[in-house]
Amino acid sequence: MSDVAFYDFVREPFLKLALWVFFLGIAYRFFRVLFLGIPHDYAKPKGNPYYMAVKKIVIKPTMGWTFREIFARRAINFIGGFMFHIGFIGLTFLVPAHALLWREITGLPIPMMPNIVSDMLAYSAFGSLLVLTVHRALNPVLKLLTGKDEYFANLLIGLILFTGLLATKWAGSGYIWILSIHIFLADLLIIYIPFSRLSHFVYYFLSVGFMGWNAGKRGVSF
Amino acid sequence: MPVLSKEEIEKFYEFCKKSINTEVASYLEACVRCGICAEACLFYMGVNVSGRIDPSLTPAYKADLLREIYKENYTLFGKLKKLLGFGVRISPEDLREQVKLVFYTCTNCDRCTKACPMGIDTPKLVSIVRGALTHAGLTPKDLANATNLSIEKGSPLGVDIPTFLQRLEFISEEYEVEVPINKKPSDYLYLPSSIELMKFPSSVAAAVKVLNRTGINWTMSTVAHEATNFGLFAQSKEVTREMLRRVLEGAKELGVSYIITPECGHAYQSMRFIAPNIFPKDWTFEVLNIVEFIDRMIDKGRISIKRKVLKERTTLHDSCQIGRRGGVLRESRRILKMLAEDFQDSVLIPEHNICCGGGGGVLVIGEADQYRQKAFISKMTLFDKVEAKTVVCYCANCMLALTKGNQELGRDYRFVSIVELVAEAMEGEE
Amino acid sequence: MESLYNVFKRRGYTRRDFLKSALLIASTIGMGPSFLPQVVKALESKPKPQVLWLSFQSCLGCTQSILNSTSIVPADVLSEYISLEYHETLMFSHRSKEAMDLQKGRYVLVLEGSLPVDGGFYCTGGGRSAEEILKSLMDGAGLILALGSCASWGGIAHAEPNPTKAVAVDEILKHKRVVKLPGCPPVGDVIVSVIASFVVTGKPPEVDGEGRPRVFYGQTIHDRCYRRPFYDAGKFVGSFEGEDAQRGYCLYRMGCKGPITRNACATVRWNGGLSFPIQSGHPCFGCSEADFWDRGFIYRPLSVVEEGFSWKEALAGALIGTALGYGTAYINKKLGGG
Repeated sequence: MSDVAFYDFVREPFLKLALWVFFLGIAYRFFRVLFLGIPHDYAKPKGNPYYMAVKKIVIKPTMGWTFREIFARRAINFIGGFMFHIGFIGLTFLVPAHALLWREITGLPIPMMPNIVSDMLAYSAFGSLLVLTVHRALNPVLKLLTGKDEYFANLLIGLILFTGLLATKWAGSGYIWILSIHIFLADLLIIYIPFSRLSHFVYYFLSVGFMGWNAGKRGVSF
Repeated sequence: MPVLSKEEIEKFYEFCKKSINTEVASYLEACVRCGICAEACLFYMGVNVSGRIDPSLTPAYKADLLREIYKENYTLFGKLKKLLGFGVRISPEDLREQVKLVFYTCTNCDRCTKACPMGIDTPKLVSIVRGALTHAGLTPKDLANATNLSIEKGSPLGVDIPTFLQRLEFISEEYEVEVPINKKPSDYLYLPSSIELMKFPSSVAAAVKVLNRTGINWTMSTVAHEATNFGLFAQSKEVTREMLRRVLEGAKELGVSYIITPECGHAYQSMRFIAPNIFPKDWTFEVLNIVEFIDRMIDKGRISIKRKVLKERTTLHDSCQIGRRGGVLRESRRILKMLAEDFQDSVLIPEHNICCGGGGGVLVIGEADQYRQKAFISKMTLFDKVEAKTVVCYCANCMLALTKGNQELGRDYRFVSIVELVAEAMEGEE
Repeated sequence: MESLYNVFKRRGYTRRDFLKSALLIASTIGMGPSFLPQVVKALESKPKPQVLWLSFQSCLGCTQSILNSTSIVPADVLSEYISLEYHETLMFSHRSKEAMDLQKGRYVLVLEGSLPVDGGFYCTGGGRSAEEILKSLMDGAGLILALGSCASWGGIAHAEPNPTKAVAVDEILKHKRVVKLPGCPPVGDVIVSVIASFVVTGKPPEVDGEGRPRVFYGQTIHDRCYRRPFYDAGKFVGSFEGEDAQRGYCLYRMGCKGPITRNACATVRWNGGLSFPIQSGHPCFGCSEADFWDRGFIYRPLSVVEEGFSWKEALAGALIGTALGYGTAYINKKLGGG
């Protein structure tokens, strides 16, 4: 199979399949949980649960930082995790080639970032992913909590970041192969997300929403 | 521990299966295995101090069995796996481990929720596992005894109505206060907790003094004479309901519109947030914690704090169920600032405060003592951080746990009740 | 047989002109200035190549392309130098081997257009099918050039629905080394320099796995594009009119297939190094890669789903997912009793 034939395969039928699986699977997982329903809460709330739910969804990623002693002990998780997520989300949506795909899918004018920014994000995301993976393998708590799922996801994302970097900078004459492998792995990731813990980004809204709702119900601000 | 039969494991399984709703499922699904919750857990921290890291104390791990059960009943792949015979196999050892995880080393303090990047309410999940264990008859013996006692005699410490009256008589004589009992009609019903009655009578007396000083129309009841609710610790719906029913009956009989809960964490929790869901029609009362109540009264000018009674460096210990999970955090700080000359908060944000280690019934469980003592170490770090020897509490259970830990570890902290301080500060010159 | 230098002299060009061409040939075939003496010597002494040019299912664009090649060797010199012993289009098509006095192992066989494998219905000449003609000539060739995308990959004739069952020439020449010069058409200067390099070195150029000379097809248009800095800076042309297009921003958004297209357009350029599609403001549509015509979507970015995946598809997927999720939740609620 020539590289362009492979490229055409991963870009057209496989990407399309991946996107179908992704949207279907993510909606399925989200609504499978949402439609389970919760019992009505008759206790009069002390604050405003709806406001707090929205507020927490917006500010939750920074909340853990106020726990200084936890931050000090798990700085790798906090800083690495933050860098990774910023990098991953930024790269997924704002790299020109990706942004054009998302524009097509969403119809929104998604901005495109210059290469220098995406390079920085990619290096930081890749580096922090490496560090986080090593940390995961060494920390006793994480050793207990981690399954194969996490390592596979880390490997997949690491390879995607690596091949993406390679394709933009260092590929040389193997450019189309590297690019195709990058897209192929990305397709795999898109398919893999609904089947794994990587779908936590949809549950974030539910879980943090409930947490904020509870905070509003109890009248605490944090 | 009794020998476990298959039936009991089945009961545990079924209970877990039935307890899943959107909220629980989203918590179970959302966990990303980051393990940050471990660093927020006082038991993990405490055990860690000794250098022996026990990763199984991680809050996220406590819900893992529940997660497995959820997965094989609510997800496609889990069901498939179960069909193919790779389902969850629960051994008696697993359940014993669960007892350790949820009864011995969790106080439902909610601190991990605040640290969790996904906002997972681990106490909620732990409560389900507790409920399932109770359903399977695996409640720790001490806790089960106390729970039974509270059903039989009306109080986990065995305070029945004659003892209750006797203690009140003692208090009114000893501290020279007038205690209204079953006074009709009344606006406010004050419920003492039996821990206070038996172990900290001065605290009850102080509350009575404060209530009398405000000049409101209040009373105590012989029907609703116990604020604590051990049904919550064991997560037994029947016991919770029964205990709350007594409160409801007493309150209804006296026709009150406010219920004042004492310095007791889960009493506030149960009456403020749980009772309305158990009696959605009948529970029409406004439930106030005594701290909340005092703050209101100070606001209205009904009582005034006339002097600062604490001269030394002071810090505050928050009750998780009243504070972090009850929303009474700013009130206690406002009051304490009036009471103490040198008040230093040990945490950046009130919601960060560490639990006493004895909540959620851990205090009464003998087997959990070693963990509770370790937890006290992590609690102490906060006191030492602000170099305070005097710690103000607003929960009798916290006071008891802290005092116990203090004695066991040979420390010299002094724990005082905020209501007592208020009662003291009301007297005297401006 | 006369050499290239002889042709130059006869046509009235100076030795300086000849050396200029020799230098260009040396550099385009990747030999560098230090090899110039050797190249000059070879072009002075070696006889001009015999070229057999067979047209199959083609549009003659490739012929046009080589005739318009002017930057390496002047046109009149070129047409005399590359002795087209036989060209289907330029000469009378009698298709007879006897007309040719070929030196075995020395001649260059240039194949233009794709081959129909329908059993001798299309593209026949002198009563023989294209396949037969090709097979009769292939053994003696020193260099077989598959010229253009049709000969290299099947090209336009091979595109859907492919009525003639056209295939690339190397499908027929299974065990032969075929040097492919894909492109629609390929750059004329590339053809000239590949033939010249055969004259100089006596062997086919170094090729990649697909049979393309590495010198010209080793890099993508994207890699050598003069608009690449705009790609890196995230500056894109959004429409063919307007300021961004005039500023010469990257054409990726307009559907440029440069990133997956290997050709010499961006380096050698066309019309004597004057310009190439991207320079004139049009996106590359990847003519030198296999099945470029079937890829379609010329004016849509490379990274989108070819047949389209808009919010409608996303929503449809999400709705199906929602329905399934609702169903599962409903069943679970019934089963779980919660």
